[in-house]
Amino acid sequence: MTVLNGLTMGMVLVLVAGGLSIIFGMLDVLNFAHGSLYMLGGYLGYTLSIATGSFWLALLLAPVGVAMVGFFIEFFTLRPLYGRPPLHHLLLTFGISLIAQNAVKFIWGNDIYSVETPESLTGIVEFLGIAYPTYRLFILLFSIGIAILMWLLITKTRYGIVVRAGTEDIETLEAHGIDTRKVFTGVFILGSALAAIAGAAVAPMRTVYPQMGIDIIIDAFVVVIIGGLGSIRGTVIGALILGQAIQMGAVFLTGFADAAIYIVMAGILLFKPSGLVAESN
Amino acid sequence: MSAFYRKILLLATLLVLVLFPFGAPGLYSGYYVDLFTKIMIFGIVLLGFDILAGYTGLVSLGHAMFFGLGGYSSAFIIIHLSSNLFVCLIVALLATLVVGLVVGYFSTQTKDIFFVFLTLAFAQFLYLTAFNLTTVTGGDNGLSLPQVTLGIPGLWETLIPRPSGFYYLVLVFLVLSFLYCRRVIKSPFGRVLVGIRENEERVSFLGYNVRLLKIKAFMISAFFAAIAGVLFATYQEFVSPEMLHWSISGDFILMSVLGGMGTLIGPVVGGVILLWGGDVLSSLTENWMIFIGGFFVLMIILAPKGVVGTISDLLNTEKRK
Repeated sequence: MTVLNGLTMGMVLVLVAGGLSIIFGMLDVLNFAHGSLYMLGGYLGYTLSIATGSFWLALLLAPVGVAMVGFFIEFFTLRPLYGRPPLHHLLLTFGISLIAQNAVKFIWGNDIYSVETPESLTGIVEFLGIAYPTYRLFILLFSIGIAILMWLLITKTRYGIVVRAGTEDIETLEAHGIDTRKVFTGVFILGSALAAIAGAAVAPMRTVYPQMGIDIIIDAFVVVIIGGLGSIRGTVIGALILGQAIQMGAVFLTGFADAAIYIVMAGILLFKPSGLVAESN
Repeated sequence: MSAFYRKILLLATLLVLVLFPFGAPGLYSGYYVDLFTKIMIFGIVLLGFDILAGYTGLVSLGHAMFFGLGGYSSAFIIIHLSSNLFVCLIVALLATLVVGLVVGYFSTQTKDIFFVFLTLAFAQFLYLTAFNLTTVTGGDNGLSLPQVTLGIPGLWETLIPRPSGFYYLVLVFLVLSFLYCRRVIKSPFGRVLVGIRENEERVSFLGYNVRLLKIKAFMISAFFAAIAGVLFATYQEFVSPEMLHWSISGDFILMSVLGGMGTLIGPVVGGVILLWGGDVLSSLTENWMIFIGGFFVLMIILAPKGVVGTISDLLNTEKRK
């Protein structure tokens, strides 16, 4: 049960940290506002599910809305900053996260909203002798599905080839006549949408609250660092490790596991900054 | 701006700060004396922080760790040993020496964003430890502490009158910190730190031990954060894990960048903007950080040198014309 909870949590982190990782790999931008995009996904999902009366429609539309926000962020604030030290990007997106968090509080207030679980997914399923909430199982499978889609997009399509080439060497990509600015925008939009999907999907499980973006961004950073900055495979593994560590910590060690994870993170930064999983070429 | 005018401006600021509490109930409410005490405590952190972040170019997202360490050290001392401020300061500095050397030794192996995240990792570890060690630290509830005293332990001790007594105490610390930090950055050591920021390799080719210099800069800034932490905890008579939280470290960076990193006075100005400006804006809306965030984003895009850095640039080009 704990392992399964950890897995669900890990898969949600894959979605959030995955976007963070592609954005860093391509744009060299560590996006502090990524948690805010996740949060916006949750809030938009909430509002849309009430407005449309359908959770599924909300799950579809919220990421589209957040992708638009992502477009504005990239186009108006990040573009002028390319070529500056990566620290500036981190600071800029930190500022954006402040705006986003307070804008959310301004629009939706400080209340905690719970999103109703769609009727088809309420209740409990039993398999392998464990009773597990259906919705959590859905989140798990849904996240895996999205992750596989992403993996197909990146490995099998032309767009994916461009993105992968971009994480290796931007200048060569430009020399091949590809407008990297458009690719940058595209990647940022995609990452934003991924974060929003995660935010909207977990809303019925974890509720929607103003701190949710801040809560997840540090976890997502830990994942990206454990997995190695810019490495997508590493991110998946890092997310699964952290997901387990948090759940195990909550059950067996009450709190000390999440402190220990930062020692792991420090160790990796010091001794293996490329992350636990080195990308093989 | 010539050195003469700069001196006049600094002395005028000092004069205003010295006279400030006298206007308290008459011209403005005593609340502002309290607010300015807090702003000055942050000023002490920011002065030290600028030596590390602004001059050496190592931006730490874990500086709250020393702020909180100073706070918790003084809490333990006041509760268990002595209520004397100087005992608190000495113990806090010793604790910072130990923790700072460990964290500084490891963190200075890296730079740029790796340094950012390494310092964050250490600070988060400390934060979560303080949060979870409920029996020692009171966990999330924090610890309330009795009033701090000034004087010689055992011989003569006095409570610090509030709010003005504490205000002047903090002011003295702020002025001493400023004078010390200015000496540091004008010393050959300070010049080498700027050299490290601009081009680390060249500095090491000149025969300097870059690593050692970085650790020194790290320790200096850690000490100031700890001193400020002691003052903050004894002033509030309360410590909680919040003091160690990364959002406090984030605030230090926010203030430094707003005011202008690497100008020494800039980060303090940034502190004034964020805390005083925030106070003014908070009467308009509860979510005033939206304006600070917007201002910050604009500054990063248009004027990354911050308010003080940009103004001094403007004044310098004016002079050249």
